[in-house]
Amino acid sequence: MLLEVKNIRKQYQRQTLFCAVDNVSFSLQQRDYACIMGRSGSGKTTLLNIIAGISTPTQGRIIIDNTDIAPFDDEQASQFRNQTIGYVPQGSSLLTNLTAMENICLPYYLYSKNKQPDNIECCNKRAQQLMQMAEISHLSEIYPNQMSGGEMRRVAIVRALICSPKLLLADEPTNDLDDESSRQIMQLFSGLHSQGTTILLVTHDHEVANYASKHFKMEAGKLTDYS
Amino acid sequence: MHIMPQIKPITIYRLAWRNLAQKPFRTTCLIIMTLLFSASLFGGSILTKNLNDGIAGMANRLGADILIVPYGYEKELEVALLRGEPSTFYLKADLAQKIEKIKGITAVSSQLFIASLSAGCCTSKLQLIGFEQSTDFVISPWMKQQLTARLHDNEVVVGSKILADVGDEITFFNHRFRVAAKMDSTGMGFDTSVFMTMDAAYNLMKTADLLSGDVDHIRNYVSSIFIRVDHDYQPKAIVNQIMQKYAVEYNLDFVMTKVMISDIYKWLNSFSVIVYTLAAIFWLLAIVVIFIVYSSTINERKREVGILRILGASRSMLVKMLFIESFIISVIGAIIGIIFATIVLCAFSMLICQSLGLPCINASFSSAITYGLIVFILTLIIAPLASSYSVLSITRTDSYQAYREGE
Ligand SMILES: Nc1ncnc2c1ncn2[C@@H]1O[C@H](COP(=O)(O)OP(=O)(O)O)[C@@H](O)[C@H]1O
Ligand SMILES: [Mg+2]
Repeated sequence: MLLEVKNIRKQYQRQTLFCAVDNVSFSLQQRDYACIMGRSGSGKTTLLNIIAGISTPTQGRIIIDNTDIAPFDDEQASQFRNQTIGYVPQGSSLLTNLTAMENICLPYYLYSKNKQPDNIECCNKRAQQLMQMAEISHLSEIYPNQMSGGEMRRVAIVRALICSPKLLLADEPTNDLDDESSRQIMQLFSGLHSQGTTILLVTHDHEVANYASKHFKMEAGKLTDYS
Repeated sequence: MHIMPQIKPITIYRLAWRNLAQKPFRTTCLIIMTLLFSASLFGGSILTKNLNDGIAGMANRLGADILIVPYGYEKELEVALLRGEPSTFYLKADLAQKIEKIKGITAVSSQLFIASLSAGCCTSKLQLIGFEQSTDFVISPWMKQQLTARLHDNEVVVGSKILADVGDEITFFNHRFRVAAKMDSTGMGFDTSVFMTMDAAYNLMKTADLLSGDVDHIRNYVSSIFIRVDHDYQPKAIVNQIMQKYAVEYNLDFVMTKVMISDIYKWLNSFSVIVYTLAAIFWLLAIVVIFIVYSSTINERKREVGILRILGASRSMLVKMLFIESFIISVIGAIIGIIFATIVLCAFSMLICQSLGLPCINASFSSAITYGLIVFILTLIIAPLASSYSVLSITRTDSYQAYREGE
């Protein structure tokens, strides 16, 4: 089991206590390609943030690759996230003052052991391969403000892959993209899946959902099996 | 196939630099805020020190306790003494012998001031002064090397700012003089004065047509009398005696050097209060402005920090990145401010002192370094302190929990 989500609940204090994620449980095997569908505001992003360890759940446990990160301190949890999870966030998530190449390599260099010359070489090579696969090699020196929405999204995907994560999370990766760009991105995910990456993506687009082999539906914080 | 350029690893430090470079206007403004403080404090405190040292040096070596001048001329004498503003005034010379006899007075020496704006030799104003070498205790403390022989009538002693060296010849009103000695820098009017024997001074006045009327009579006059008082006597009491006996007959006025110097110290005190108040205001202003600028960008920074968080940056890395950023602002502001103040001081310090009419001694290298260090440290605190609230609220756990855009 690569990912186990057990009885996750997340409450926010608004006017009343409000449950954004309500007792969600599911699990993914290695090489699964799963998809969570649901309307805006149903708690999908909140759930991904909890899986990624950015947000702490009010209740429940997350076990990734047989590791429960709950007892980790921030330093350990961050490093675990850096090395185990690739997260493509919703919307445009590139740092605007870095080029595509710099954005892509950024996660790799967050931990200092990677700054040795051999590792720099290694990172450059890997970035190069991934960019070729995503057909964005020509963008490596380009800043995000000169890219199209689809290009930015592909750079973000490549960035999520730079540390060879075991689990790839993608939050509405085709949102506000044209059909052609969406297809390109979904083909990229299919390719990654066939190479063995475990993927969990969130969308509200049925066409996109069709690429996945496992389907969940999220409604008002509750997750139901769908396939 | 594309050849990928080798990129330098993007580190937390480089991210901080990039963030600053990306907003040049904002960064420049913040640097200027810190620079205002460092420049004003460094410049102001060094100037205060220069003045303080100058006045202390003057107080130490000015051997006279009382200066006697004609009635109404005490301000002119102060100005002549401190600033070297050329002036002329006359007092009957025989007073010196009478005063000498008063108990408690240890030394009396007269000087004759010749205003010589038009002296042929020099472009800047200078004061020609006749002095009595035999009784002198005013000039000799400043002498670079003491005169071993009696000064001849064709010899002069020059102040430190007169462009002539020992052995040179200089000409005033067609009279040629040899420079017999040069004085140390006094920071006072003496620096632009030329001292000669009384005879030479009288002679110069006569032949150069500096006087009209009864020219021969001039030998009976001096401009001021310098008096030194025994330690056991109060200068105030001595002045009272002199004034009671001779004020009416000779139409006298007086300057007590202790009072003059303590007045200058009082002025310097209020000057330094202004300097330090101003610096404190700039310090607070910088903190407030940087605080506001940082606070107003909290949301925008939360987004960026949220992304870094997603990529695996820990909270401590992000705190470090944001503090490095504000630290860079402070360091640059401190360095530029201190350099700027140093340039201004080097170029204008003497001019400022002169226009204030006060003696100045340039601060030594080591004290400049000490002041610089203190200012540097105080400036370093500014931006990190002012940004700390924002940094902590940007990186607070769960503040970036939901990276949700466009919803
Ligand atoms: N930090 C927060 N504080 C309060 N409510 C929040 C917070 N984050 C998300 N929510 C609420 O939780 C619900 C789920 O949000 P989200 O997970 O972003 O939905 P989705 O991604 O499915 O559109 C929404 O109603 C949202 O308003
Ligand atoms: Mg969402």
